[in-house]
Amino acid sequence: MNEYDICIIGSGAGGGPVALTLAQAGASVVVLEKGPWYTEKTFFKDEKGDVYYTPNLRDEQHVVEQRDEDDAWTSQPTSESGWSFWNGNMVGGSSNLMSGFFTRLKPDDFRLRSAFGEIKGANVVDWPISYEDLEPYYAKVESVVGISGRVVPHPFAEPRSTPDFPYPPTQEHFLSKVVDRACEQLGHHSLPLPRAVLSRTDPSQGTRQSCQYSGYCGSYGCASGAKGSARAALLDHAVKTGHCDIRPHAKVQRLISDNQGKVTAAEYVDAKGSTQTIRAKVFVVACQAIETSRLLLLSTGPKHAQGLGNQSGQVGKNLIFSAGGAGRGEFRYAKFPPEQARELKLIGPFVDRHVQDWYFYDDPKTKRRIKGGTIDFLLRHPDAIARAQSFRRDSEGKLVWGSLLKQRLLQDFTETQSLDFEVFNDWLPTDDCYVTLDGKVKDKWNTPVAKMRLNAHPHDLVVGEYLAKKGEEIMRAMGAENVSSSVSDSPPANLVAGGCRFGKDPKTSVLDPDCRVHTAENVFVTDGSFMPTGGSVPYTWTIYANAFRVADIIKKQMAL
Amino acid sequence: MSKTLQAWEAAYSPEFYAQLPNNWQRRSFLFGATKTATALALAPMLLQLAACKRQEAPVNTLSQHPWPIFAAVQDILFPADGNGPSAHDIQAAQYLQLVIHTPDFDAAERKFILDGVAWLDQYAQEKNKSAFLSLNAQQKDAVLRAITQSNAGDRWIAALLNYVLEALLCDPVYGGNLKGIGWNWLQHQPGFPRPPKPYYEQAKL
Repeated sequence: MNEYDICIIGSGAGGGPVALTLAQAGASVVVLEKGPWYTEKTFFKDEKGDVYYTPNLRDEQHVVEQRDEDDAWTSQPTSESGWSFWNGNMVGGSSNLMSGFFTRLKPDDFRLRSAFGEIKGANVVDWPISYEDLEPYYAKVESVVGISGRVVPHPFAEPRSTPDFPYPPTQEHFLSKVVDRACEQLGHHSLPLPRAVLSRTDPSQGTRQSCQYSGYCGSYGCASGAKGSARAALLDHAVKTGHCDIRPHAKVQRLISDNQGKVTAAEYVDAKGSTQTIRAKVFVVACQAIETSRLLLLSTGPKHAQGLGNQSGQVGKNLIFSAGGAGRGEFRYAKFPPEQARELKLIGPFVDRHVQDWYFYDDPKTKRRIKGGTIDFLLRHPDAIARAQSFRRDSEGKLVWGSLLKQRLLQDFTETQSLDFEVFNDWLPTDDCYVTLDGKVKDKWNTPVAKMRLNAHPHDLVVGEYLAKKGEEIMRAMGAENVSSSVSDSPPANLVAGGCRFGKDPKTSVLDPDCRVHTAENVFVTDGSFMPTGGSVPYTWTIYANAFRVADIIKKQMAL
Repeated sequence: MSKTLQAWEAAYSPEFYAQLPNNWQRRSFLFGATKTATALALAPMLLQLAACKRQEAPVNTLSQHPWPIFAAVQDILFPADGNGPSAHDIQAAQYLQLVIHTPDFDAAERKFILDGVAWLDQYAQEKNKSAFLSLNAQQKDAVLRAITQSNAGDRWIAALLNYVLEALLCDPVYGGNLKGIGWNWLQHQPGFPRPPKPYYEQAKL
């Protein structure tokens, strides 16, 4: 069968909520996913095992354009630089590999322009919807996807329609309390970090088990089903309704539109290399920001000469990432009594703390109230090979080997526990951060690859540095040694959004407030592409919530 | 720079390195530029190398040229010095042989690694008038340090070090880290469930 009510392209956090909602409403749904279909039974903690869901850059790549030393724009294919922008090409997408650090946006994130005014060189705008519009869907995600946490009052706490999370917090590490004490001493608010990880089994979650605390969460697929990936939490349930087909290894090449501008079909290449066509009443694009913009740009038609929805040249514009950086501090086992040292060493329970005292703050220089961000704390990722490789060269880039290398490895691995912190602040949208199609480089299906011009607004670094200093202060108050941090204007490839802004004006946005393409009434975009500004937290919860909101709109439009 | 190192340098163009899945150059190894744990870790870049569907059965030729030379280099890079396992203990040579002979392993990279042995030996001849294998440990170490003056030599050793460290800490199903000897030494707790076999032997999904 190649005719459905609804065809969803991309099976991650943007596609999952729509598939589940519409399948439950009885519509026939097909989900086209480029990558393979892994399950709990086929995910292992295998540091070498990501090959089948991370495309080889010689098969599929991007072209990155950045300013060089002379301030000229220079582009380089990622097959040369090794800089991968693929984040998990499989059923469930990168939500399989997330850590599930779930934090809501705050009401002022929906009206940054009104609340804090213009920033020169940045395209900051208010959202066409408010926090109140999204709140019921944030709440829905807590119970449907399964979020574990504990509500603690604090100055920037966002309003909630329910008193607390449906699942208690996941197990905590020895260092969680150390963060709490340091923050108390400094007068900050140490907040439990909500996780999209089941802390207990729940019959309403089907076969999903509670967390097994292997310590390998982010970057790995979850073998217990505790992690609330779009696959485990949504698509598996959608398939069980009998109304949802998932087609892995289906790479959509373009959307075909008619003389009215409506999309009639999606054309994809299957695992055997044959071209297939799916007809549907409604199409949903959710391929993660960069690939969503690319697909729209590739999908020209009689009414869409410059690409689907691109009549105002807005597709791909205002691509955003998460600004900020990371820091680290070390705790030497020798400084703790043996029992505490054992707890400190433990891998499995989560630190799960974040601090939002500077989500908004007064800029010390200008004395103006500005948007800040979030600092979260987590154990260093336990990947051993990657950790050891960092000792291969010294700080000057000189190779290190022999007994010296062995000593350093032994010391690093056996004498200290490392606590990391991450700074999330807004990556301001600018005219110099966007997606287009590359004129030369093609992927293995002979289709032009996405080219990204990447540039950060200088303000991002000012805020990031401010927050990183606060993170370092907390680390030192905890008694950490060798505290360091690095704030970078290099975009983290997995924290990406924007490119298809939603808004009321078709001249300055791609999508209407319902996330429907302004000029194609039966096409919706439900991944992070819609976000005009990103907030200062990981995107996934907001993507889930918005996709559930749009799913209800589609349901209404289809009169289901 | 010595004649051999100049010739080695000239043997590979920037275009050659650019086509490698990992070009091992210095600037590709700066710490701290990316988010790590909420973000996807640094690992994927390192691991593209081993992209392969099914592994060819490696011929057990560790006693044949060039494998004794690889093993000798690895013994310097990760010596039996009484501090934990040596390159030999972790099966670093077997591991390297296995990895570079997986069918999808990049052919240019395999050639770069294999060809390096001849350049190394030629340099040992030029400097010490002796085959690399006949040098004592101190001389071998000095030869390795000397070849890092060239970009080609630096990249070659960086690549070999990469696979030594993989052999130290990979899951034993991949052929290194014999019975978890590297994990035990560094008191490293692997995650679970562990892979029952290498990913390239698992059913393709």
